[in-house]
Amino acid sequence: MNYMTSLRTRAAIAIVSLLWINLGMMFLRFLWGMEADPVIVLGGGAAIAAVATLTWWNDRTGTATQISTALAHAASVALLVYAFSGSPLQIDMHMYFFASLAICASWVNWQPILAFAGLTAVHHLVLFFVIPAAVFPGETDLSRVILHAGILILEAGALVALGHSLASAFAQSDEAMRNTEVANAQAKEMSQKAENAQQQNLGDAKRREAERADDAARQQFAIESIGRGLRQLAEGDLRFRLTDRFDETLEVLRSDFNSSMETLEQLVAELGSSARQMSEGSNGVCADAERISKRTEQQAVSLEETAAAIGRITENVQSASKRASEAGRLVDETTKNASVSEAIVSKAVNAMTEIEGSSRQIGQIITVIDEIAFQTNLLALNAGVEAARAGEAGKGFAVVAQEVRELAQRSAAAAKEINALIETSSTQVSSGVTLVNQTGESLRSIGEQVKNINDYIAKIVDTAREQASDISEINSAVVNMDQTTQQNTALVADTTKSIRNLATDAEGLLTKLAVFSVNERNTSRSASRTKPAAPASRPAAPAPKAVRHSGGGAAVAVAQEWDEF
Amino acid sequence: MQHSTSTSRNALSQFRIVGINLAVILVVLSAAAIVPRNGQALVIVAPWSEPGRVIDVISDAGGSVMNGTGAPYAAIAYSDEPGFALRLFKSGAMLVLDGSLAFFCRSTSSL
Repeated sequence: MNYMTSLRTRAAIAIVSLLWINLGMMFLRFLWGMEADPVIVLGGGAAIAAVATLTWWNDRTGTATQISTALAHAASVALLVYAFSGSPLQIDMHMYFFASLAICASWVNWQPILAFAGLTAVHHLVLFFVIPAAVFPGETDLSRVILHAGILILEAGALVALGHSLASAFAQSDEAMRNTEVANAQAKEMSQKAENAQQQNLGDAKRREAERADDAARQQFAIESIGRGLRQLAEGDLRFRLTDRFDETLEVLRSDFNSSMETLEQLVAELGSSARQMSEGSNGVCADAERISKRTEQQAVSLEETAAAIGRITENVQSASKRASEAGRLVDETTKNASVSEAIVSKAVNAMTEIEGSSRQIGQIITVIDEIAFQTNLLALNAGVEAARAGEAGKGFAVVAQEVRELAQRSAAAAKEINALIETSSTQVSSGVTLVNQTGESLRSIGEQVKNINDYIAKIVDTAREQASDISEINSAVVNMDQTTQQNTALVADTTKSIRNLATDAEGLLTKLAVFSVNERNTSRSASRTKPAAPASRPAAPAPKAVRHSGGGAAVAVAQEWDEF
Repeated sequence: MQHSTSTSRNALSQFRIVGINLAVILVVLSAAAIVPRNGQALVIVAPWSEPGRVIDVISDAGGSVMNGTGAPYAAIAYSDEPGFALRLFKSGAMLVLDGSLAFFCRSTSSL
């Protein structure tokens, strides 16, 4: 049970007891003489105290008990105030509200304080409006209610704050107590552990002393062995191995040393083999690079010639383009001339039509002349007849009439001939018109064909221009290729120089690697790893023997491959 | 889940206990408020009883009529003899309240 519960348990007894003390005060008031109904005051007070006491009996410090006892105290004081109705001391009994509220604060909880204050406020307000005499003596107004309410709120707030502080303090005190108990238990446990550890340390110290001496001897042996191996390594002998077993803890060191030597030996052997192959390959690559350099130079010369040829082709194509443009222009003029000829033909057709009309009019005139000649002939005949009648006198006249008759006949014959000529002329004019029309048609078709030719020539001109442009691009590309080829030539020269340096470096590396002694089997293994297609009939490697690295002849095959390239 | 159920059951029990206490307190305080004091009482008979019934009840209880109300079945009576309320109930009053509660029934100067 913590301190808070203990405090509340003790406070509960006082609070419940005070309810019954209040009932005793009501009884004393009854004996003194009161206006209020004694049944209500005493019976009600006893009922309120009894229910609150039962509640406390059921749960000594529960929240419901706290709130119920607070409500019971507020009601009990209200009954006391009621019991003092008509007495001038009634207003002084209101102080008991505040005293009881302070007593209820001993629950150290805000809930009973608020319950007490709430019930008191409701009681005052309701009775002030309903039965003022039940709460205040004589005449009263709202200001008194407000004053009492203000004091009540102030006291309730202060008590709530006080209760909160007390509760916090109790909680901290309980927490500190719990922490202290836990710390004590931990300290006891740690002390026990320390004692056990001390006893165990004494036994362990003796055992470790003996083990340390053995370890020192084994470590000395291992250090000496490893020192011997390192001296061999410093002299360049990579074949040395530690054969004597070490202590279990140091055996790993021995196996690591041996595997390191094995790896190092294999690495040096492979390095030597690689350096040898690199040297041989570098020499072959160097010769081939020189050949590539020469070929590249030849290629550059060919490209220069190609560029020149393409330049000439470009000029030719541009010239052809100009000529085609000229031809186009001529065809344009021809088209215009053909259009003019067409107009001329049209005019000729019109002229022929007019000629035909004139011939027809001439024919009509000739017909008139022919009729005049016929009438003249008739008149001449009549004149001859008359002259014959006149006899001798009319002989001269008859001659004239004969002459006139002949002239008329000759006129008629001439008119006939003219008619025939005019018909011939008309026919020929018609055929001429037909021919002229055909000429016009031909000229029109010639004009259209010339237009087609003009279109084709325009296309030829465009194509020639595009070809010229394409050839120019080809020319610039070839020029670029030429420059690139020349740069390639310079690069190949640099590469050749670098490869020569590489070959020299590889020789130097071989010379430096000759310091190390390795088994021959490692050398052969590394060689077979780089050349997996080695002949199967190769004799088995002899027992390991020390070899020194030197330059070899594996470069022949590589050189042959580069020759084929 | 079980813990929350038991917590809610405990809270319900606490509310019930506080409710019982509050009910007893309200009954007692209400009784104190409505029981007649100073000999003045608001006497109410059954509304369906005949007019003048309330006068008979007051006179049977040994009281005198001080004032009427707006309702014919209620009146304010006075007696300086103790046990006036009990006698009114015995005479046939349905409800006897403190005289100051007459504002519930509009006061009139005559019956």
